[in-house]
Amino acid sequence: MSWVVGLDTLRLFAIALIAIYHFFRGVLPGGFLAVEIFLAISGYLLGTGLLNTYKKTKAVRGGKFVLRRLMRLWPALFVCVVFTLCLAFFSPHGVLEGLHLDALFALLFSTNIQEIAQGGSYEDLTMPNLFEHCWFLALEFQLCLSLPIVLNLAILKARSFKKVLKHMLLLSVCISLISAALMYAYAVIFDEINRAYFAPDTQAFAFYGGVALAAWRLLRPYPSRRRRWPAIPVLVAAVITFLILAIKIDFSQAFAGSLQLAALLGVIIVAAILRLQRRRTSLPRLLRPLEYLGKYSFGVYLFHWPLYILLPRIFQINATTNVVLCVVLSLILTTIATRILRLQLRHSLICLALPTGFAIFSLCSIPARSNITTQLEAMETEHGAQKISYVQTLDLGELIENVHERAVQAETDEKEAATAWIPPMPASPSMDINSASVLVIGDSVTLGAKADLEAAIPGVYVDAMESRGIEKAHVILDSAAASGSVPPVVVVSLATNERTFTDAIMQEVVDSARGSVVVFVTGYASEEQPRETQNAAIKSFADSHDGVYYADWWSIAVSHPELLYDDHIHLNFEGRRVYANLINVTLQGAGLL
Amino acid sequence: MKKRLIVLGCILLVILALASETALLLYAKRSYVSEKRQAYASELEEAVVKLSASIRMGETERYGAALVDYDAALMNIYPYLRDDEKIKLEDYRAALDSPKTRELMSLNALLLQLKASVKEPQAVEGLETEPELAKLNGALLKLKECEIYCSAKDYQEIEATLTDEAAKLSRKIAEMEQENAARLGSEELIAWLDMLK
Repeated sequence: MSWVVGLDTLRLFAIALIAIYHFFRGVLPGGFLAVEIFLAISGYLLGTGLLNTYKKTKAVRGGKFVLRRLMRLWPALFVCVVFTLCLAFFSPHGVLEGLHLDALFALLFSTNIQEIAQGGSYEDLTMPNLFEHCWFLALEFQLCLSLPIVLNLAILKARSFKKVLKHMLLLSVCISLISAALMYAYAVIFDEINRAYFAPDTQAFAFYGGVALAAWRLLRPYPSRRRRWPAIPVLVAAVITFLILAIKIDFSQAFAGSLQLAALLGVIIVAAILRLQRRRTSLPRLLRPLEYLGKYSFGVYLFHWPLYILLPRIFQINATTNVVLCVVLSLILTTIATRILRLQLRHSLICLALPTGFAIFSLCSIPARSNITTQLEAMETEHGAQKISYVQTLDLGELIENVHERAVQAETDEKEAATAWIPPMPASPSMDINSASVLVIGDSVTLGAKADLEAAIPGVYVDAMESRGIEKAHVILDSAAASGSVPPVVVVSLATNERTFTDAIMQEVVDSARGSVVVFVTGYASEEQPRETQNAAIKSFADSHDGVYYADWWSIAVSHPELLYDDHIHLNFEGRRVYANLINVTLQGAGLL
Repeated sequence: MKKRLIVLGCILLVILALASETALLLYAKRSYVSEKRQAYASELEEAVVKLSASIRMGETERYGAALVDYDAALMNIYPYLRDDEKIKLEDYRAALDSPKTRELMSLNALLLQLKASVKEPQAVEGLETEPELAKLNGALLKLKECEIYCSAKDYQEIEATLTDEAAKLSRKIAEMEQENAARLGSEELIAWLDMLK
């Protein structure tokens, strides 16, 4: 059977197109057309085998023929199902949904019917069918079942084998044409794509094209030199046209003629290879490994799809690694499966016993509802419990209540302050200037708030006196430095009596502070003399110097005259508390406390 | 006679094959369609919940991703739906991807910022078109200043603003909720998806 060599290379070409179609979506949108090549090869080989048997025995022997085909396909399919189920045991994802039925359909050669019924597709990777690719085996087996029937029809009223061949050729061509028309009608007119693609009646054209080729070749086994046709140019042209179709056509466009054309090209390519095979019994040495791969293309086809689906789910690998692993593991599994199936039946069964047992265990261990359904159900329960709303809510009740309480408290404080007796000042500060952490240098405003400052700021030393101006600040600081050290934070609140707060004066104060942080307090001295200019100078100076801050008493005093006595300068009972609080918050805000 | 028997046998075989194919097809169709509908309806449900959450949180990116999920789930379940079911889901899709939904999302984002501002007052940008939110934000900022000092009058003003504007906003939110429930009706949709299974 020297011609098998060439056909094996053709099988390799076809499986490569299909694998590229499955692995790299979009690169070869019409890669699936290669199934027509497989069907043409099968049609040719099965047709030749059946017709040759009839020639020898003068009987159709359909049962024996189907049984032989079954024995060729089923063991490999069984091994594929067993290996896949074993691997699926480790898969944590939703591919297990309905796996038991998928496996059953695959083993009964009915996956194509299943696909028609459920509208399956290779595109559906959310809940992929691990045995989706078995639709092709099912289709081939169903077509194989029809072949003895067609041969029985061909032998009616045929007196010689030559007549049988002629009838067979005619019937095969007719079936091919009807099938191609049915494919067009189902897909284009009735818009039943799945029915058109997966059913045996609509996919019979390539297979019966191969059968027609078998009949034709048996009818004219030795064509005369005059009738020989240029096989190489035809082969090259057919392969190139096929590749162009595979690149240009995608699934949705394929039914209006491309699949039929691909089938015709498949038959032409098979015919050309067979024609060439007469001169050469084997391909060149360089292509021998490819022949080997072609020989095992059936196994690669069987294993590549379940591996492609399962590997990334089990091992969390990226797409490229997945493809490489798929190819390598497919070859390894094919080799192992082939070795097992080549053993004697008893030994094969022993080898397969353990994996089969594990596969059954895997099937039993898959819960009736797989992980994905369970997860979705859990999510549903969770979401069902929660109210679905598109709009944010805004509940300010608590805040409003809090503000109300503060308003009532403030009102009470204000009333108390208006009638309160102001206690006399403590005689002398208990804190020593050198051991204080905060030194407040101030005028009469600060002097009024001294007790509140000492209560609000821990470690404070207040040095305040009436009618003080800014020039006193560096005198006090120098004196503090002379007697020990300047406290780390110095608050200067001398803007009430001072109109000329220049940068130079403030710089002198900062220099006298000898590296301590300085906080200037803005001043307020009635609406007639608001001190806006020097307050702006203080803010500007603080903003442009590191280690210098300001506390804005002016902003508060302007908007809250009720904190001041009638002179609009000095602080009343409430004003002192607020003044001390201001300095405290400023120091805290600057991270100085 | 033999040939007739063969022809009859062939016809019988074809009839048997067709009958078994039909039976198998009917069985497979019934079980698989219901299984697929169930799984894909759950997927849709998940996408609907994600969508409503992303709209409520005013998260444009998550909304985009959830819309993609919804489309994918819709595409998956599509072959198993009746025409009226397809129309319902497509209508929902159209309502989701409308300018009104986008407006709602930006309002939700502002509301969220305002909620955050209640805890840590900050100036919220983009409130020009939402007077209630702008006034509330102003009141919250003023409240922050009260850490140093606010008089009873200040507190009363803040309280009045918060009470009035929060009431106005609550009314507005209730109206929007009602309108969107009628327009998008996801709770009703979820119940419907349950029935779809």
